[in-house]
Amino acid sequence: MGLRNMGSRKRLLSLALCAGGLVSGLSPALAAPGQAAAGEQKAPAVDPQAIKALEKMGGFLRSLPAFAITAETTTDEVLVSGQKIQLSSEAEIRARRPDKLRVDIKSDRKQRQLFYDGKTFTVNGPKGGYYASFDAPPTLAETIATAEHRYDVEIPLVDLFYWGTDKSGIKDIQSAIDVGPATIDGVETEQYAFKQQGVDWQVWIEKGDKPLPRKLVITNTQDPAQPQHVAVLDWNLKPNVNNAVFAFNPPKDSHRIQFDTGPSNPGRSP
Amino acid sequence: MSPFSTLKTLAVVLGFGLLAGSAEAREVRTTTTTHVNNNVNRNVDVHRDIDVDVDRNYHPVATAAAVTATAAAIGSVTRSLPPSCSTAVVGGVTYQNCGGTWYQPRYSGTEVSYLVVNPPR
Repeated sequence: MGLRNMGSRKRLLSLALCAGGLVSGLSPALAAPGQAAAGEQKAPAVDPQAIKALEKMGGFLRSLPAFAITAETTTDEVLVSGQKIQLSSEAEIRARRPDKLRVDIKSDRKQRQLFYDGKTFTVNGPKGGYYASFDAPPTLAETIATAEHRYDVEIPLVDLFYWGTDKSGIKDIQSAIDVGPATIDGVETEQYAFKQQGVDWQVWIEKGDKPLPRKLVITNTQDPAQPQHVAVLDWNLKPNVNNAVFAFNPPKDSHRIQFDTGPSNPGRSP
Repeated sequence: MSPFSTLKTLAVVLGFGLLAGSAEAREVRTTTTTHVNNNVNRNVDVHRDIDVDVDRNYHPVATAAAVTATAAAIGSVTRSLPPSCSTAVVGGVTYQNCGGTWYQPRYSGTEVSYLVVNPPR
């Protein structure tokens, strides 16, 4: 009895030792190539489910006749020394298809308002008292492209207006993974991570019948400091989008100025 | 000569050189990408002071020196004005008159920049 027990114990022990040897001796050799493949040498493959989730989100965004977002954002700036400075801002975006947009950007450093009423696009600086306008194309998509390309006007969260269109940029994605469930401001989401040239990014998409982006993290991988832009989005799908919201009336004592049409911005002036 | 005016004089001679210590420490080399769509092509390689994209200036000494150094050049562009400017509208165009140097404010995207111009008539 005692001997038998001893024997079985010995066998167990040798089994355990053997297994330990396998784990400690063999597994690093087995794991190393796998780690390298996942890490540095080769980006993981594109998970079709992650792409499908992006397309579903894009389709839902396109289906919205109007929306309002309040986005809390942080944006890194990298100093020459490589030191990162994080700046916070809040952007309120109101849009009504096909031809209305209003953006209010507020931070400790700057306030700006953008108005698009279907005919005119205006940048207004309430503190400085300057505004500038250009005659705008008849649709949101064209106007956003014109503002970005010809006038260098940065529209916050501009991707919201490209996802779900033929300019979505999904074809640029080199790697896509489903990270897993996450809760953003009490909302159940699924977190996805993507890699593309110069940019790693993550999006948290609301679960259920409203697949909205609830959070976005964009990492610039071209600068070794890898600065990030983070936005957490609060959505209102039944906003007040009266015409008055999108109409710009110059405040008293404000002055109209021109957009910079210098040679450093080619294609800007006709 | 007060230490401050000595600094200012040096700043005129050396331009940004004098401020290399502080100005360089404050210079932004990259502002991060804020979009993933490649149809948008914003310049993130900015090379400017951390404090230029603001409604007001937090560092009047550095600003005054920088403006002093570039004020003479008609056609040059600055992103901040010296203190004590007054708004003037001449012929429907808005200017800032800062002690006899005239600036025309413009929007570069959502940033205001100032073009140094000849005094309007």
